[in-house]
Amino acid sequence: MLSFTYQSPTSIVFGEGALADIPDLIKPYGVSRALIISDPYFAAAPPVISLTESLKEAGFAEVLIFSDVPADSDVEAVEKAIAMAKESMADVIIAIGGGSVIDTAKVVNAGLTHNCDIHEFEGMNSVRGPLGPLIAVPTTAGTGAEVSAAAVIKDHKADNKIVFASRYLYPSIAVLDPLLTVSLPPMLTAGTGFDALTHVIECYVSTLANVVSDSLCLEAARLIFRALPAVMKDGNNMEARSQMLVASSMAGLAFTNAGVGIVHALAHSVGAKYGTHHGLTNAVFLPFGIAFNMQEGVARYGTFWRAIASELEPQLYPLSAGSAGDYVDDMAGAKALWQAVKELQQICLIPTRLSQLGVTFADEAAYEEIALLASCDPAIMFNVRSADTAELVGILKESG
Amino acid sequence: MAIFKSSDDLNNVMSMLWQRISASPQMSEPLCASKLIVQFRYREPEGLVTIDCSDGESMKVIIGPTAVKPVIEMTMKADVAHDFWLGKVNVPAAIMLGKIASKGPTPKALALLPIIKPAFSLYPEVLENAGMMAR
Repeated sequence: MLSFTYQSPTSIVFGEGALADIPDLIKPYGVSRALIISDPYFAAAPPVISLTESLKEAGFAEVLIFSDVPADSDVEAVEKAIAMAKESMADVIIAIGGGSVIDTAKVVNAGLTHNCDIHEFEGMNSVRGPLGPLIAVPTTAGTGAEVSAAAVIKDHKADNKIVFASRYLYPSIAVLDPLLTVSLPPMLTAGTGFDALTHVIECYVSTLANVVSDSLCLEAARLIFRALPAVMKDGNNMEARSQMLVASSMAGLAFTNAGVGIVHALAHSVGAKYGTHHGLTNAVFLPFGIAFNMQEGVARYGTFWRAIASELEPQLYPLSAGSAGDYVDDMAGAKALWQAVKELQQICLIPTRLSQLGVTFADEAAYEEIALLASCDPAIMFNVRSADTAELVGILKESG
Repeated sequence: MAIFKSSDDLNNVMSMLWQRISASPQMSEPLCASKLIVQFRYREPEGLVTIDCSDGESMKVIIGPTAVKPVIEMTMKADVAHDFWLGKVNVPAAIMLGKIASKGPTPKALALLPIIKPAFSLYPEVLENAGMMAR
C-alpha cells in the first residue's frame, strides 16, 4: 500500500435541530462575541433568528449578522465582513449557508485572525497560523465546505476566482442539521447533489486517492445515488435529506485530502467567467470528465462501480444497476458508471449542456481563454490524466 | 539533520544546478518557451532562487533578492527541495500536505516537471562538486 496522510480536524455534529446545540458546542472556546455570516434568505429566517436569541440568552455580549454574501462570494463581500468582524471584536464566526457563505467565513476568519490583506494568504498553504473558532452550518448538501480546508472567492478586479487552501482553514465544528436543507428548491438540490457526486467520482480516481478517502467516496456515492432521486421526488423526505447532507460531508472529507480533478477545474473556470452555478456546471462536465479519464482511470472506475452497482434500484437505473459480477470487466464497470451519471441527470431534470446554462463561446479565443484558466486551476493537479489546452478546448466543445 | 548547513551552501548548490539545467537545451528550451517566472523561497536555511524565462528566449537564474516579480512562488524547507531534486517528492501530494506552499498558477509549473526530470540525475553530481553528499 502506498503511504498517505489523512487529516480531519473538524468535529462533525449531525442531527435534526442540531443548530440549536451551537451555544453549548461553542462554550469550550470561551467566546462571547459572535459574527454570524449568512445569505439574505437565511439571515432573516426563523432558525437564524432563534440562534441569535439563544446565543444572547447564553450570555453572549454581541451577536451580529453579516448577510451580504452573494451567490458567488467575492473579495468585496469578504472585506466588508472582515471590517464588521473587527469593529464588533468578534471572537467566533458562525457560517450558516451554502458553500459560498462558508468559504466567505473561512477567508474572513483568516483575515480577522492575522489582520492582513486577504491576497497575502491566497494560494496553497499561505495562511500563517491557527485561526479563531469557526462553526460551519451547511444549508445545502453538496459543497463539503463545512469540512474542507479550501475556499474559492471571486475577484472581480482580476476577473478570476482566487483559491485559498490551508490546513488552518478547516472549520472547528461542522453542524449538520438536515432541517435547514428542506427549503432548498429542486434545481439547487440537484445541482449541489451533483457537486457532491462529482467530488466522490473525481476523488476516487485522483492521483492522491488513498484507502481512507476511497472508503468515504464509496459510501458517499451509495448514499447519493439512492438519496438524490428520493429527495427530488419528495423534498420533505427527511431521511433522504439527511443522507445527502452526510454524504456531502463525507465527500468533503475525502476530496480535501485526496483532491478532485478536471471536471472541477473546468467548472471553476466556466463559473468564474460566465457566472454559472458550480454544482450544475460540474453536472454538465461530469460525464465528459469520466470519458476523458476513461483510459487512465478505467481500473479505478471499474472497482468503484463493482462496489456501487448492486446498491442501485433497477427501476431508477435500468442501464447501469446490477451485481458486482455483471461488471467483472473494468471497462464495462466504467461505462456503467458513466451511464448511471447520465441516468441521474435525467432523474434530476438538470442541464446536460453548457448552452443550457446560458454559456456560449463567441469564438476560438473564448474556448482557449477558459481552457487556459482550467489548466491553471489547482484541481487539475490531481487529475488521473494530464490535459493540455487543446484537450481542454475539446471537452468544452463537446459539452457545449 | 538539515542537509544544507547555511544559506551559502544552499545558494551555491542551487546556482550550480540551475546553471547545468540552463546549459542543457533539452531542458532550457521548453522552460524558456513557458515564459514563466518562478521563484523558490527556501527556509531552514533561508534561500531565494528566481528563474526568469519571461522573454521566451533566455533563462535567467537569480540567486537572492530581486525586483523581478514572479508569476509563481513556491515556498518550502530546503530539505524538501533537496528531496525534490533527488526525485523523491510527489509535488501535488506535498502541496496537499502543506509541505510546499504556492501562489499563482501552480499547475503551470507542475506541467514543467517532466521537462526538468533529467536534472534529478545531475543533482547528486552537483552536490558532490559542492563537497556534499546526497542522502
